[in-house]
Amino acid sequence: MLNEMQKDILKEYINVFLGQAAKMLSEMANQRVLLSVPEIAIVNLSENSEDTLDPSKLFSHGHIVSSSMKFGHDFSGRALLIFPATKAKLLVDACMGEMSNPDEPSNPAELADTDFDVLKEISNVILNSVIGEFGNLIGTKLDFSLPTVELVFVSENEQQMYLKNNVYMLMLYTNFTLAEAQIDGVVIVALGMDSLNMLLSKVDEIIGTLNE
Amino acid sequence: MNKLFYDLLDKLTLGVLLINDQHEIVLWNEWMASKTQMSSVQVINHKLSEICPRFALPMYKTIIQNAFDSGHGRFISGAVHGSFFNQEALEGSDVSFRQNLQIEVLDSEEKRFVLIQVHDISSQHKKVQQMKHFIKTLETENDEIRQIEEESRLLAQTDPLTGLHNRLSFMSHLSSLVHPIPPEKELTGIVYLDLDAFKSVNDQYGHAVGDAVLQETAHRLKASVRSTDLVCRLGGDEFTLILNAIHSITDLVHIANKIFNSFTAPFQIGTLTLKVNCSFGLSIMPQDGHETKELMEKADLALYRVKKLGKAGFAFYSEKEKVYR
Repeated sequence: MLNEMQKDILKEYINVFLGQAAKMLSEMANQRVLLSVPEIAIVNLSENSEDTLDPSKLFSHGHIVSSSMKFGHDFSGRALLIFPATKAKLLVDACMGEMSNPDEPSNPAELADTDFDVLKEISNVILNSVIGEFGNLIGTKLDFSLPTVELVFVSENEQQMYLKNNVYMLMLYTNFTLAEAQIDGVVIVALGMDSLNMLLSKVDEIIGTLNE
Repeated sequence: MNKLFYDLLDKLTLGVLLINDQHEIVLWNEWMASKTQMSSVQVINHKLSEICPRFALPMYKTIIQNAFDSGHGRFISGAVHGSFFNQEALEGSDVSFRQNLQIEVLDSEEKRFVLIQVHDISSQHKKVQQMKHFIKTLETENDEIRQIEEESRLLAQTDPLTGLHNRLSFMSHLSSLVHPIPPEKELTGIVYLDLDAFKSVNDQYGHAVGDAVLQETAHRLKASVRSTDLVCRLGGDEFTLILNAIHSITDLVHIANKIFNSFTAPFQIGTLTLKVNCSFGLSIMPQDGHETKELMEKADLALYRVKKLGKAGFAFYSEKEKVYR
């Protein structure tokens, strides 16, 4: 679905977008937060796409924290930030300056309402950066809602519950590093065919200017 | 309609304020007035950072400016950022106030405004903190109970005089070795040992010296075997050892010799120098059986043979006539 060149360009742009989010999160958490996207893929369930989806990279079996927001007019879709609930707790504790042991698995039930507020803010910062900058890249104005956060239990059979036919999933495998903890999450940008084409045309345009 | 609109805003149980692109306050509802003790008359047309100095900080200034520039909303969690609009909190007299802020953009007649909704989560936050504290207390208590249980378990399995495993611990270790049966090629040696003429030590020198002899015996037995082997005191002057993962009978004889030779040097108890001898019998799993009772009985029978044939030596159950010295 994505050739190597397109992948490289997108990865580079997204890492720049996330750099701004990381700066804001660092200020918020009062410590250095690093964000990177080492891997991206486009996944479509209705086709046999080349980039096969490894569900374990998307949803771990059990509780996950999902945060989502809708965006756009011409370029529209839904953006989700997903990570395992046990890791979410680490992220919240680090932001609140309450150190928890990264090796000690936490119980998803321990996530309190105020923890969800913190996750909402983190998601807000990250999704704003990614989606906002996609808008700038494509040259269109994007309006979007504040994210909503939910804790969902995903059984092994239901791991693809978010993935619907005819929707293309731009998967940004995201790595957070803060307070000596590594937290893997994934930003999913769900796009319709038209929106995906808009994005890829822009990427191809950038590749064209590079080749001139 | 205008009055109804303002009345409605004043009835809301959340704070609502609106600022223009100069960051000046243009709307301030009653909730805001009651929390800050500043009426709308006092704040309208004043810059947000004058009324709430936290918005003069670069982080919050940037958040507001970003909203104006990009049009993107921003959520600020009170759990991380604390309180923005609260008299006690602003004066620093109470840090328990927490407010979530929802920042969104409103465009009207080519003018952009930023709407800030303030949700007070102080009581919710307090409850969460109390709950977290409660969970922590429970966890600490649980840890303490576990520690006490572990100490009690160890105490119940330890001989107080020598610090060795006691009969209970020995039997449970032996059973766990027997079930499941260990690998075919590995042998386990069971040693049944007692001191020769220990009664006369007690009679002649008293129980304090007898106890010191038992403690020194425990020390010598432990020093003569590997840390993976188990040394126990069954009671009186009776000791048992479990020698694990032995590869051959020759190895077992070597260890048995080491145990026996550890009694060669006399015992120094205070000013007393005593010669203490021991006798012991050995049974071997699997060749002498797999059952705990059977292995103990066979080691005891071998010990009986040593005693009958002159003490101060050791014998294997399987070698019917032989005593090592």
